[in-house]
Amino acid sequence: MNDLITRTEFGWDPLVPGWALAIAAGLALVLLALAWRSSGGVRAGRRRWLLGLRVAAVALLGLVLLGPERVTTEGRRVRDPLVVLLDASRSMQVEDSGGRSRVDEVSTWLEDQRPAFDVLQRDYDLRFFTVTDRLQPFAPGAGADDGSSREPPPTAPNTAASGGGEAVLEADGVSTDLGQALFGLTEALGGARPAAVLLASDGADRAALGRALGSGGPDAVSRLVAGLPYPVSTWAVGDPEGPADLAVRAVHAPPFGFVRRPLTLEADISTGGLPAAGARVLLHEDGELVAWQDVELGRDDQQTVSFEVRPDRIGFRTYRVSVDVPEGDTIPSNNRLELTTKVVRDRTRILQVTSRPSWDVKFLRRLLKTDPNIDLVSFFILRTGESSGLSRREELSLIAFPYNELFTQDLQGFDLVIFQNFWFGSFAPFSDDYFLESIATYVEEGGAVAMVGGDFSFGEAGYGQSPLARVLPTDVPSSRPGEQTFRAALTATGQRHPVTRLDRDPGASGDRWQALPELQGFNPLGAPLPGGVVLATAGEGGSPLVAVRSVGRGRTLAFASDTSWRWALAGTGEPGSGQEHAAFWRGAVRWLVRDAEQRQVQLLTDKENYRLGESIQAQVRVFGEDYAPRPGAEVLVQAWPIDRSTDPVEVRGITDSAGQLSLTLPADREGTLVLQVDVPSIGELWGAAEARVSVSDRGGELEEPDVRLDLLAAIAQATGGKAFTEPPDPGDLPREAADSLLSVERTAVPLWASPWLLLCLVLPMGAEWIWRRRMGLR
Amino acid sequence: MSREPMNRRRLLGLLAAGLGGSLALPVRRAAALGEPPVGIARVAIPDLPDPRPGSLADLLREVERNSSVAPDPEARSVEPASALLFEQPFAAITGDRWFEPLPDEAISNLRLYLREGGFLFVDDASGIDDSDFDAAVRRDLARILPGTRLGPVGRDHAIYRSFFLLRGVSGRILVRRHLEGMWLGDITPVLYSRNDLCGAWWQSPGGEYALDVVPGGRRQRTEAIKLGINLVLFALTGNYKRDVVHVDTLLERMRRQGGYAE
Repeated sequence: MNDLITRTEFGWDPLVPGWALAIAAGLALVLLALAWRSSGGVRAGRRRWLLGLRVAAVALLGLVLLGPERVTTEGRRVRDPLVVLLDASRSMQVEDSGGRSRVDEVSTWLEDQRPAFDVLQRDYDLRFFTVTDRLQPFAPGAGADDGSSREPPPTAPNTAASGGGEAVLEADGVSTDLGQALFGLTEALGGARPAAVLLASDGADRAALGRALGSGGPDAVSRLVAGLPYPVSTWAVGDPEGPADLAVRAVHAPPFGFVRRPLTLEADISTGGLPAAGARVLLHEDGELVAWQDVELGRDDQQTVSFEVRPDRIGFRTYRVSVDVPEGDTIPSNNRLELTTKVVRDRTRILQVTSRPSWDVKFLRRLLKTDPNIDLVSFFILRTGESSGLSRREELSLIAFPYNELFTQDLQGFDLVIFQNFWFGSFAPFSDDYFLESIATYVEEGGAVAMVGGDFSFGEAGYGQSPLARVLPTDVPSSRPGEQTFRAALTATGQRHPVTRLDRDPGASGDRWQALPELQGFNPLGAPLPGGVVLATAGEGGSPLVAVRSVGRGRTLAFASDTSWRWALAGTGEPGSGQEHAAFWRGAVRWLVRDAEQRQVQLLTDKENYRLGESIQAQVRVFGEDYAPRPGAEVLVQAWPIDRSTDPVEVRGITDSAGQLSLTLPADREGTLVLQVDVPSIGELWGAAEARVSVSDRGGELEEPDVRLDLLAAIAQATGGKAFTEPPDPGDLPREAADSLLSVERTAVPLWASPWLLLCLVLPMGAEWIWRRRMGLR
Repeated sequence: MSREPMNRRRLLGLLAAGLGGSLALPVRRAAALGEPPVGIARVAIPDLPDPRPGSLADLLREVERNSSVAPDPEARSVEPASALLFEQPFAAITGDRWFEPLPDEAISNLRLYLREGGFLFVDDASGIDDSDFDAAVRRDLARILPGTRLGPVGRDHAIYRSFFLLRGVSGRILVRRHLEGMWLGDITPVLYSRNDLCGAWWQSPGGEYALDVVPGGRRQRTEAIKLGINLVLFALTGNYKRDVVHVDTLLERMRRQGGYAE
């Protein structure tokens, strides 16, 4: 079949342009008319002979001008391509082909038709391509090609014979563009024109052909594909009646929510083609079931389900709304939908309660009250039953202490609760276990508590035996308070912990702690509880003074003295020297409420929720110790699915002059993606940041997965193919002749230059001239 | 401390107690951990003797009797230029006569003290409108906080509701119908009385009030003591009673008493 063969054909290569040929033709007609007229006196028979000779001369002249040539082609005979196009877009996942997905039906057909393909393979170059928004060569049994190779893939029968594996066809394409596939086929074949094309698809095309169908019907589709120079047969895969589906169509939420504030999520649940039934709609927050609702759905129904959640800390929350897959649901994958919301803090809401006003209370309140980022609610017990009093109660400015509301229903509204020398027993005769249990639960669910020392605090108030004990950083013994003066001493952890770090430089921070005024008196604390860390002690090796703990989803802090105010005022020898009190407590509050501003690295994305196939635009911002933009910093970004089911994708880069690094990542997989950035040159606590995005296919192909018979039929009709609705026999495809010659060398010999042709031209002209002379004509 | 399980009856008791108020039942006496409790330090100024010695301690005893504050009624005195000033968040200047301008060192020390959170109460014990003490005080206060002026304290100021709901000022003698103050932003670090408040608080060793009030009456002295207690509570809690959670309740109570409306 690879031997050279020669084929000779005749053709035309005009000697003059087309317009000149037209003029010549006109002149020839005039000449013929003049000749006819000038022979008016001649007998009719002779007159016709004369005209016939002149016509023959003019015709031969025209033949010469048309440039007849003989073309000799030498080459190899090759098989014409016969192409099978396989729709691999997501709509082919719909399970409406006898209980199987559309793509499974196509895969089975490929397997079943091996013998037929074997037969075709003898005469045609059998080629397979997958169709999504682009064409990709496909080798059945070996999965989709990455498109990097242009070598013709092995054909199905050969592959099956050698590999023995089943055809692997994955329907993961984001969209379908049948027009681009059909018109780009010749290029994909290296210029060869296929003898026939079979398109196996559901016709769920939302590109040019789909739009044409929507706007102009099948005729518009026919007009678009009529120019295809090969017959395209189509096989409509899937149930023409349309898929039965229960779906979480959309989840609506604000672009961001506020921590510990209500956040409303609305989920659109729709059903079609399924019997009326009840459905349970589940809401998961970061994988944990947090709410559900039961809804009754009609046969073709849509309902909106509303959930209210309270994200318990800042950062990102991923919510997944899901419904069970009922029997007959042909699109199980759209029964769940994830959405990521950014949770921010509007202002830090702090509740400060104390059983006794003191200088310590005054200075902490003064600090918090003047911070524009803090909403402070203070409640001070100003008077106890012991107070004898000058006045009737109406003359006092006291209001009832709403502890019941504060420590139950309102508690979730606070980011931080400060028990500053506070004990229920100082004003109430009853057990406080109920409220302390509520507060402990609040911590475990994401809240924060700071307990500050005093004669109504820690062991003095019996907190060691209370429900609150389980969330405090250390054991709380009932030992007598220490009354001596001492200097706070940092532990090794305290030298680098953000709560006790008065300066970014650990050495400078230690020096500043050394210079702090002495404190007086402390509540004895015991050993740290699991997760608890002692940051400072009352003197070197003394009782814990500052301890912190991350417990559950919340945080707690213990400060076992009531004289930290001395750091604000007593240490004041010169302007600014009293700033350590503010630095310490601000750091404590920030740590307790997980303030992101402590970080020197920020990771921003242009949004939190993407459609499949979009690009994730991310920007890393790196700041120095002074929080000025830091150029030239090495950055490592890792991206992985939230379930860590695959290895992370890593991107490395260096920040530009503005301290920024921009990245683009593909949103090529449904689900939630965690992006983590690490700047190794900055410490662990401040040098990392995280963002989260969700990718969904909502608004994509699975929203309109109906089989479009009319579109596929229009393609077949306009190109001379057949429209199948059942799995076709490849041998039935309309196709062109089964061979063609691949040119190696082509030679054209002009025939008009032949002397014989010139002789044929001169003879009639000469005969006509001589005869006219003899008849006395001119 | 005993811990009892919560049941419905107990919960209802809690709710009732919550509605009724939180100030009803004594539990135990107050004590600080190690530090001396809340006190007031008189600023010692040369040639300015204390005209009402012990009156500040008398006030603190009233504070202890009426409130949950744990005061230290020991008499304290502190040099205005001393670093020890910063150990005492509440300082007082009391006098009844002229004194020489404070040295610059004392002025700058007091300025830093007030800016960093200290509180200064000034009481003119002279009982006359145009006193030498007043002139000397105004002179040095202007040096301590240049750019700010003594101004009248409005009736909506927290000093009038920091503990008692008060309708106005009082003292041993009513020279002015208002207090004066100086402000740093929203904070009032200086309050100045012209009405010899210390004279109204002052008690003899035998427990009798040392001076009569003018024009007289038990109510005038009681109001002066209430204002004194408010002073201590204001120094401790600042604008606490201006917090939103208090405002509505207190305004309603003041209206019921025929008091002030804002």
